[in-house]
Amino acid sequence: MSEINSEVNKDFEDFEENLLLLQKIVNELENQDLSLSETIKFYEKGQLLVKQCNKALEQAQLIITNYEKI
Amino acid sequence: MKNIFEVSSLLANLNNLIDQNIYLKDIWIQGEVTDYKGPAYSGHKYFSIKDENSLIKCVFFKFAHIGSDDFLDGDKILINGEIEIYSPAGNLQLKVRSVKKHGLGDISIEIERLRQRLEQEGLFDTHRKREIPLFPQTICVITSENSSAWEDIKKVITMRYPLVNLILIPTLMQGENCIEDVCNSIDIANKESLGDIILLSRGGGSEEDLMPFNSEEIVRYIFSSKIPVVTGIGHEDDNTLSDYVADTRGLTPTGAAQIITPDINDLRNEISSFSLNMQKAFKYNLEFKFPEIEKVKIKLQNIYPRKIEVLIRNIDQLEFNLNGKLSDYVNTKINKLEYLKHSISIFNITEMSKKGYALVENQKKRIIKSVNQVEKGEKLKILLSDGILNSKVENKIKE
Repeated sequence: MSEINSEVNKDFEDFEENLLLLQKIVNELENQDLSLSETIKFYEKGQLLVKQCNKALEQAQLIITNYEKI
Repeated sequence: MKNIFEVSSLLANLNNLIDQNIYLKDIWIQGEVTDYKGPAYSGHKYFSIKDENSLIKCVFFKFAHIGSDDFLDGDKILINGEIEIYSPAGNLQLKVRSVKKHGLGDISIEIERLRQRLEQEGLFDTHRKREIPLFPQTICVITSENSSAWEDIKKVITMRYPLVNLILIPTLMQGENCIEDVCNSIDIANKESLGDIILLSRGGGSEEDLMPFNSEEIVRYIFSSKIPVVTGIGHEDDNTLSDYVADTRGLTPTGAAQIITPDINDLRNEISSFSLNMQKAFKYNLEFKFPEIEKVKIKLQNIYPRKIEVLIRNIDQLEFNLNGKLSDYVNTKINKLEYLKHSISIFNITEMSKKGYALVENQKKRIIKSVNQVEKGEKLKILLSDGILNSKVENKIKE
């Protein structure tokens, strides 16, 4: 529950974390007995995570670096 | 007195003699499979192996089959096992531990020996294999820069999971310095933490080309790597010891790139299914878990239209009032303007001249407003409505 209450990660690197958090929120909404304010809070956070994850996929661009051996 | 043996004790003695000879307990034999008709009902395999002049019976128990090649009658194979005498039949037989179909040459025997040694040491144990991250952030690719393997890897990952960073450590993947260079690259990747996965890859080639990946050095570097190592070496049917020790093995460079990256299309579907399920759950919760919400909704629907109506009426009234005030204001201004216009017309010069007033100007065309502005004898012009009088000042009388 405390993870769900944490801030939404805005970095691309946190895509995995955001996706897992979204999954948890869906599970909580589906299975847990939540209060009204929690239901609304989780839903809002879930919407934000969906937006964030989709944005990460839309803007994704492969970065390629060549390592220079000395 | 002659020493008389029972058959059983004679064979037991012979088996003891064999047991004492370590070479016969770990023996390598190559030859052609014969008398083999497939596994018995028990799953064990019974066959013989022969060369041009000799033959030995073999038994290959089911529990030992793992990791060995399948074979058919007529195949040339390399067997590792131990010699024993099977007492019930009085046969000398080879109890087989492993069978390799390929490579009857010395190199293949060496590789097989190395494989068994490393296996016994635990390098290929499945329980020690490191987990491959589901969503890698940086993949360190060890391959040759101008290779089709590198092109394939870039192509696959661009299509599947462009969220990742790829770091290429350009490395010799065949030839004399390959082993040293590959080990060095694995070392660099670990020391400088260049990724959360190492992808060690090269395309297909001859057995000789792939041979460095059977070297003990590369196998041990892969084993010691802190970062999980995934291999994609050669084609589907190429097996190297590097593949055995790797944490995961792709059959080709493309296959390896696919194994280590999730597919972006699957992720999109997953997110939209999460979104859909979340909306359903949210709606369900509001409608069924909190019926009071519905009451509030109805209440709002009833209250708001009335409130809005009142507000609109107020706004209309305000607008009406404002319009009235605005028009009063404009009318006042118009009247004032008319008055000013009239006043100005009174002071219009032409109008004034008609009434007998005149303007006096000097030769510099300046209007004279005081006797102090003129000198005696100065010529002045008197401007009337119908002409000009040229005059001269005879004297000045100041009042």
